Amino acid sequence: MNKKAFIRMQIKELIPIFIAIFISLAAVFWFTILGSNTLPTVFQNGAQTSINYYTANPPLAAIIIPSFLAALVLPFAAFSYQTNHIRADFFYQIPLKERELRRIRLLTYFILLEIIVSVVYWIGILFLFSRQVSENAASSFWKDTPYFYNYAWFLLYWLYLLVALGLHFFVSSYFISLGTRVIDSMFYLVIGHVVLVLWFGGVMRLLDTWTGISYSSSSNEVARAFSQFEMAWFNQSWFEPILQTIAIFTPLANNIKPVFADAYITARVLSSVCYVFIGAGCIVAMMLSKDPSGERAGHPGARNLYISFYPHVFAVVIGLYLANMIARTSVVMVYTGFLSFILWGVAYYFLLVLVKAGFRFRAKTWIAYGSVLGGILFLTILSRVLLLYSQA
Amino acid sequence: MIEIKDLDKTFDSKDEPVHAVNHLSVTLSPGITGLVGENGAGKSTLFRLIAGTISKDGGNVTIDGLDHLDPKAKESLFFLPDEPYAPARYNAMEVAKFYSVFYPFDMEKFERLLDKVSLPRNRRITSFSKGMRRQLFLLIAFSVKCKNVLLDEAFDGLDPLVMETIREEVLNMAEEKEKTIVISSHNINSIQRLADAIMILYSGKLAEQKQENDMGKELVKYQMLTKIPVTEDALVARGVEVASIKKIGSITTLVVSKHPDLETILRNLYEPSLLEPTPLDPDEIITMEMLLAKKGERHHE
Repeated sequence: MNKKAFIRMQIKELIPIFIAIFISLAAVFWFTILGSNTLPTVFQNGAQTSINYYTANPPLAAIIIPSFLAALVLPFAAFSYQTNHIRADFFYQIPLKERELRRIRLLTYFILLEIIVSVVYWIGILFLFSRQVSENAASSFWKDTPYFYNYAWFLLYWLYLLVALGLHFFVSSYFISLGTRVIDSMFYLVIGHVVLVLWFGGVMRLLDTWTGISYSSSSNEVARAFSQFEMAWFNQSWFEPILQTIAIFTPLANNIKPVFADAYITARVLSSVCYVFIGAGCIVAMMLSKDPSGERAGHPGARNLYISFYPHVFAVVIGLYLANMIARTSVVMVYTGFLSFILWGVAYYFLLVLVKAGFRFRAKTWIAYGSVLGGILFLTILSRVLLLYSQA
Repeated sequence: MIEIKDLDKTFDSKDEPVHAVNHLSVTLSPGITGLVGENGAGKSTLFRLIAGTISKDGGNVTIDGLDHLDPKAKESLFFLPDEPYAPARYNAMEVAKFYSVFYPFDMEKFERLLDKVSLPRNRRITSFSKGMRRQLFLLIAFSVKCKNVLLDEAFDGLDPLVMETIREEVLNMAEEKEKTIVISSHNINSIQRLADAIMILYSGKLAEQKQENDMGKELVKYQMLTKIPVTEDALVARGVEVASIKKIGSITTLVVSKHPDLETILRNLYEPSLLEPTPLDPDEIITMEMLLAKKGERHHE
């Protein structure tokens, strides 16, 4: 088999998808650049002149967010042969070694994504530069001493972006590769990222303890412990290192030296190392794992969970959040919390009705429903009691 | 040549596991082998197991001496499933180019065949009818230079005119370099006319494997005019294997296995006013062999 021709053929097949990605990325990044301030704001107060450098803001987030979204969606196309029995019949019979198919497909998708992101990025940076040139020329203040970003940082940021995007692509690919139906892959992707967020939050908690950073102003350990779930969910996500990196790169590119506590920097460096290791682990796991057997394509796989299981999982996640809220809030809020809890129970019931397409459930559905409801209620009461006990 | 030893495959199912291929051992020699069996007998599963598109639970498959998952073995095998794949926006020529990436391919032959069956070259295959798609993929199967070709549900949905061209090409292909061609189809008549050997599958097991010339040699068909109802049990009790009993009006038609005292048994049991042997139609032979195989397996179970 002509492998080079196979790769060329795959690229040809991907052209429409990548044109769509290119247009989406370019539209978001270039239009954000068009609307961004490229020069610091100058305030004249009589003879005194003050300059606010923070108003000039290279919009780096406008490339990373859409490119991360593209990296989240692309693996679905890369693994389409696992979720469609017609494709499975074809792709599993072509003369390739075991695992070679997924390697070739993933690497082709990944390299094309990196190329497109790089092209959009550098055209955007050129656009940014041209805007700075023209706006400097038009500005009375910056005409003689033009202001430019430190473009060397953009080169470094681009390299960082490529690595981060790669890790994100392969981690998402790993979760998606576990499913043999699109819905299962979506489920694995969501659950996988939630687990990573929680796990990452836990690791960050440890790092922060070691490096001496406190996330909660409360001196109460129980409250601090409960705050971790929420903290992990919203702040210390899987995306944390890349978001923090924007926070560091943006002022650097804007000629402002960011001031961070040493402990903060240590935690970020450690979390980034952690991020790289998880990503690398996912790449290795995915590259070493075999494709599922073709008969699974389009059907629930051996390791797949049945769709009837999904509402319970989502109910548990929302229930845990509610439990956390009820346990931590003031007495007045507790009543609201319990009302939310009841509404959650009702919504959970109707979700099951929707999925099961009827009001008559089997015994095991009722058992699962009762277990989730009871478990969350128990956790809520236990948390509340512990909190009151610790406050007393 | 494809050698299968103790091949086994069970599918998980919500209700009960389905033993689709049951410790099957068979050798598929160069030439045309017709694979027949009722729906769910395991024909498509057997093809998929040989092609490696689904994983086996046990046993071995070798293609020209190499393990079937070896890329070299895969390169010498072309499997045409009942629903073949091609990118949706491709036309016939692009589909051929697509397949030529993966298998050694005779493009000249493909173009010649395309003209012969008058398939449009530059029309997207999404606008093709089911039969046109089937024709296109059969032409691809005839144009790949693989030593072993598996054609699943090969002739289904083809019109009689195209069928003749296809039949001709299958025969031409079989003559090239001792190719092993295995064809499954519900079009028994075509299988009968093409195949050198016939394999009958029943419940994932090899119920029968015979040379085409030997098919139906052990079967006889009788037409009988009798007032007494003809039952299978009465004949089985006297050692006669029954493939089929049909009653139309006062005439009962029987297809049974040969037996030295068959006529005597029939006369004694049913006192017919008319009893005469009639020849079996070619496509009837395979159907009756399938029925007999099925009954034999059931008795065995």
